[in-house]
Amino acid sequence: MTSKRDMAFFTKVEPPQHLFEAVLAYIALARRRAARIRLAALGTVMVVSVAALVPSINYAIHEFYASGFYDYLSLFFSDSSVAFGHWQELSLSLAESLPSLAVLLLLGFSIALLWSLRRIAPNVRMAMMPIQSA
Amino acid sequence: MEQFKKLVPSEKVRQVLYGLGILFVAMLIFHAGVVTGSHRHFPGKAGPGFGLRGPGFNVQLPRGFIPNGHGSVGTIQNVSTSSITLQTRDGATQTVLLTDKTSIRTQSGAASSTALSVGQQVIILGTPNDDGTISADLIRATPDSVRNPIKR
Repeated sequence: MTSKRDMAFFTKVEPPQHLFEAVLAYIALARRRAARIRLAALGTVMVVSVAALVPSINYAIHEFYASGFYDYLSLFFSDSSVAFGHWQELSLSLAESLPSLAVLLLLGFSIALLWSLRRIAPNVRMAMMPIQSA
Repeated sequence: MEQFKKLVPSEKVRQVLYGLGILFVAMLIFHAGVVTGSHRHFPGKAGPGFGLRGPGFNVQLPRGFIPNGHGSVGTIQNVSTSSITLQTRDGATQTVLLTDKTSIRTQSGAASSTALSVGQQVIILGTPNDDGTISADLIRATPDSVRNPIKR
């Protein structure tokens, strides 16, 4: 709440020229700096997740093969009556052979990549924004 | 490129991220159960893991699945009237017991134990025993089916 006395003070004191523009420019500069820091961090996350995604896909494919998950799943297509006849053992075998670590890694890196891509877009705009000096 | 710029911050991508996140948490809980269960019931049974090798690094990732559970997949090494010995894909040896309940099937239908031969690929479904063997309920002979897509 501004009192009448304060208002009188502001009318007597002349603010420097272009103060308003200078404050806005400084805010824009601070925002741009923050956006550039975020951009660097997100870019690192994106590069690391892309680099890790390829071996994690290979790991997942290998583990799905080595655990026999593909073979258990193929029973549903090659011999469905038998598969449904032994559904309890088959479901347990599918659950046991699911390479959860490989799936976790794959999901983790995919989430990191997608999240960083999503967050990078607005930061790129802000980081490249020109600052108009007062 | 314009479509990509519109897609990345869109609501659909946010929903996909939420879906993947939920799946990730579910898999994390599942994996915690697998690790706890396999340490308790199958100590030291897991074979060597998957190797990630490159210039200056060699990382061995552990197996993420339970060996010798309610089923097994491998190549027959030895056949007798009461059991078969398998070599599983991770190089371990697995004994499978044939019981009265065991049903044997080939691609052409029901068969007897004489249809099983050394070198054949089989899928086993059954009940795990305390001594590490499996009492087979179903033995399904397969053609030389799935080949390892990633050579180590």
